[in-house]
Order: sequence, then C-alpha cells, then structure tokens
Amino acid sequence: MKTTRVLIGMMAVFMAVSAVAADPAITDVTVRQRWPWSRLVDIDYVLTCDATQRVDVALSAYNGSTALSFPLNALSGDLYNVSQGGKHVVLDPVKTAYTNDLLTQFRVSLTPTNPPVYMIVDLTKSAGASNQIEYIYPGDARLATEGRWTNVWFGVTNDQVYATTKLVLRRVPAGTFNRGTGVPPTISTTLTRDFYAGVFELTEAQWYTIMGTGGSLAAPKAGVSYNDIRGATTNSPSINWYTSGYTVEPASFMGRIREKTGIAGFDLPTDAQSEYLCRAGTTSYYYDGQSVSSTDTNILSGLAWWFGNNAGRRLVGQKAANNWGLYDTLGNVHEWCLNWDYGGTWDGGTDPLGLLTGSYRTLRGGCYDSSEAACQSCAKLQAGPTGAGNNSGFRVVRILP
Amino acid sequence: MKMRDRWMAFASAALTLTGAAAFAADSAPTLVDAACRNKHWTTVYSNAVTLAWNWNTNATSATLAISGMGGTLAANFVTVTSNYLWHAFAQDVPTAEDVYDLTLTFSNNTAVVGALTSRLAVVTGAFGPVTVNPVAGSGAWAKVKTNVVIPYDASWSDAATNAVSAQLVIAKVGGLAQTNAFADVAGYTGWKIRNGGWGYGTFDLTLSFPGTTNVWMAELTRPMDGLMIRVR
Repeated sequence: MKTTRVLIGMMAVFMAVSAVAADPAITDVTVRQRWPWSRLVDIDYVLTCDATQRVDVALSAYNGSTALSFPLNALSGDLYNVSQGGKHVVLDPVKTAYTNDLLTQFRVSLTPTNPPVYMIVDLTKSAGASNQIEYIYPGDARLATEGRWTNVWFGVTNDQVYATTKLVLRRVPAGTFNRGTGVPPTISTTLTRDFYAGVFELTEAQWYTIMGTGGSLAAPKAGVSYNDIRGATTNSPSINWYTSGYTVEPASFMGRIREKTGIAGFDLPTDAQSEYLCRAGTTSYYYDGQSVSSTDTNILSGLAWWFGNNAGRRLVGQKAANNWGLYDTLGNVHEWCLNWDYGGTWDGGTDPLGLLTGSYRTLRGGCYDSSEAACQSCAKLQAGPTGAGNNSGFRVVRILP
Repeated sequence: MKMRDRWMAFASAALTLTGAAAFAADSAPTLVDAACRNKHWTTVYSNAVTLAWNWNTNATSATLAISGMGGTLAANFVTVTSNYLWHAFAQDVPTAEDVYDLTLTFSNNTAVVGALTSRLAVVTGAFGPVTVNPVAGSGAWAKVKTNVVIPYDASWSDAATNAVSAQLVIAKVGGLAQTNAFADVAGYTGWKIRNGGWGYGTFDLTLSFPGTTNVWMAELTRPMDGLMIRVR
C-alpha cells in the first residue's frame, strides 16, 4: 500500500514537472536605451518552450509603479509567433505619449501567451487609450467549435458595433495551402507569418469612423479605389507596393487608421493572403469544403451574396462564415488586394508578392453581381488603381512584424 | 494565473561577458545567448561571476587582472586553478555602469606561456528600472558628466548586417581623437571621461562597422560642473 502511494506520488510529481516543462517561460530580460546613438530602447529576453511551440509575448511597461500604455507601432521585433531562444524587441519611445518627461524608473514585464484568436479594435479611441484593443483567447466562452468551424465567434454578428465603430480581426495562422483553379487546387503556397484578417469586409460605418465621410451602413464600403485605400504611385513619395513596401499615404484610409489606432500593420492582403483566408483550409470550389464546381449554386447561395440571390450590396455577416469565422470572403463586394495582378496566373511558392510592376491591381472573391464561377474561392480579377466601382471594397488585414 | 505570474520576468540583472572563448582554452564554453544577434556576449544575473578556464599545462602560475573604469583587481594563482568567483560589485544592484577588461596570464618560472582575454560589461539597465529619455528636444540627452558605457550593435541597421567588426571614434572638438576598434559587432564599451584626460567640451562620436556603409553619429557635451548658466 505504501509502495503504491509512493508510486502515485512519484507519478504526480513527474506529471507536474512535465506540465511545467511544457509551459513557455521568459527569463533574462534586459532593457537598455541606445544612448547616445538614438532613443530606441532594446529589450532582450530568452524564451524557453518546446521546439515547435510558438507564442505571442505580451509586453507591459511601467515607470515605477505607473503602468504605461503604448501604441502598437511603438514596438517591433519578437512579439508575435515567437519560437524559443534569445529574442529582441525594440521600443521607440518617441512614438509614445510620454515625450514630455524622462521615464526614470522604466521597466517592462513580458508574459508569454497563446496567440489570441480575435483582436477587437475600438475605432473611436486613439492609440494607446484604455481598452482600445481587446483580445479573445482560446477557451473564451464566446468561441464555439462545431462542425467545420473551430474557435469561431459567431456572436460577432449579433451586435452592429462590431461592424460600425469597432473592427474585429481574426488571427490567421501561417501555413501552406494549395491555390488556384481546380478542385483541389495544385499551386503550393506557403505564408510564413501569421496575420490578422478582418472578420467582415470593411463597412461604410467603419470607413466613416476613420475618415469622417460617406455613409453609416454596416454594408461593405464600396466605390473606393486602391489609391483611396493606400495612396497612389503619383504621390510624393510614391506609394507603390511592392517597391515602397508597407508605406502608405498618410491621408489614405490605411494612413488614417494606422495613425488613429497606432497599429502600423494595417494594410490590404496580398492576393495569396486573401485566397488563404478565404479558403480557410478548404480545397473545394467554394469555401464550404464540399462543393466541386459552379453547379453547386445552392451551396454558394448559403455562403455569399452573388448574382443568383441578390441585387446589390448587403449588410455584412449575414451568410455562413468560413472555417475561420470570416464572412463574405466570396461575393458582396470584390476585395482589393495589395499587389499588382498577374492576370490569369496564380503565383505560389513562399510568401508570393504578386506581379512586381504592372497597371492593374488584383481584386478577389467576386461580388453581388458576379456569376457562380466568378465567386469560386480562387476567383480574382484586375482593375486599375484609380477605379472605384460600386461593387468593389476591401478587407483590412494586420501584418505582424 | 500563478503560473503566468511566475513567467513574468521583469528587467532584472545582467553582467555581460564577451569573448567567444571566454577563459576557455580548448573549446568555447556554453554561452547563454541573451540575444542571438549578440554573438559574443553572455548575460548572467548575479554580481557573483564565476570565471572558468582550462589551466595551461605549461604554466606554474597565473595572474588574473581585471581593469575597469571604476577600479582594478588582480589575483594570483600559484597552484593549478580553473575558476575564480569574482564579485563584480558589492551590492546586489550596481551603482554605476562599467566595462572591464579581463586578462588571465599564465607563466612558468621564467616567461609568459599563454594568456586569455575577455571583456565584461556591467549594465545597470539590466538590474532593474532604467532611465528612458523619450523627449525629442531634451538638452540633457546630449550631456555627459561621468563615465559611461556605450552600446554598439551592427544589427541596429540592415546595412551593417554583414559587418565583422566595429569601430568607435571619439573626437574632442579642437582636441584629441581616440579610435576604438572592436573585433566583434555587438557589445558595450566604456568611455572614461572623468579623470580620463578628456577635459570639458564637445565631443563627436562616430560608430561605424568597417566594410559597411552604416555610420552612427552623436555629439555630446561635457559641461564644466558648477558653471552652467541658464538664461530664461
């Protein structure tokens, strides 16, 4: 009996030790400003976790006991999808609200977290404001796993605030998928970095909240050109993905939302990212996982507003979400993509950038007046960057550094 | 929640030891690389630093010399010894930053038969709260009044990613210039401006990484203590 208790005790200890060993841990945090070279602050740390594990790192900063709040664009480096080892974060204190005085007792606290599933940004609040950003983590009661859906927040469609003054984004994991035409598609494509994707197409009301112009409906914002969203090649300096990278015109939508929220990573998706987030792990004709051809129009009608069931833009989030809880990735409005368009070619490989120069940008996913074939998961077309059709809008993504 | 609290790691302590083969004659010691990018510095989190080495078999004695801006230390070993516990500073938290040059010289009865060198920086910012200056127009930013430890790191700029060495030139306007060459691309260096023969005035600092185009420049002033006049 005694032996049994000892064995059980040893097993318990072993299990406890095993559990602890699997938990990610951060140690050896150092902070130092690059004086006298610049005001940037280097934050180094060591992450210990399983070799294949990836975590996000939540950074809290203090001056003495006073908590500091930073806009997200003040931080860069190893904060998202971090693997084990020595890591490095850079803080630009000039981008914070604390530029009137020295921070004489500055310190940081780093916490490893599971990557959140959703990110909610209050568009009415300025960068760094209290409760400006909320994250929803796995295990949250709002998340449901059923059928083909995993950790999906269906309740996001129950309150219009999430399609008007707030912006909800879903974490999209890095991964490899096949894209292009055909069921299943065959062009192997790898996206090496996680990113966030808007749950809905950006709405009129959200556009109004940021830009102060236009309508107030929770329907997709349409009639906007690529240049309205990011800026034009004729700007000075020229805004020309991919030559100018993620730089955008300050007065454009992306410029304004970055300024307002302090989130530097807001942008359009590349067309590879757009197809990835649309398919959400499926290889079917539409994103339901079953459809095989354009004859499956009854399936399409359950997923999207298209020519067969609609005659105009509709409020977002009324059709069935894809596996990752993203709505209207087919139909409703065409969605502008970041890159120049290849025409009838889909580029694969690792982190494809689209055509590097061109005259036409990519639009993806079909729209309310598209045919059943033009609403398949691989669907894309092209338009000049100044075009502003009433059937064209966009979906915001947040690129992670 | 408790577990999460345990994970939380406040900016705590660090001594930084440089030299890929810090006091190891035959093979590199296991390094705790605090920042991957920082290849030659290891970080420890105590003022008690265990220096370890392999004894030179031709030696009959050894001398460990530690020289920093704030003082020097020497220890003699007349028997085979492979480690030495050095308290880099007295308190748990250092009162000032410093950079130390460490030299372990092996001798037989008549001659030097080998030597190992290393460098170690004490960075107060790694032991707790640090001062961060986010004020763009701050005059205090450009003033230096005491000995300082200056960081350098090629990874600050993509243009210097392939650098293999670094160089810091300190030039007093109208006076002497000192060129500091580093065999590594990331670390810290000490500038002993107090009692270092520099005097008062304006200093131009130029940090470069030979073979690359990247240059970092700074202008610092050492004001004469007690003679600052401020006009409103």
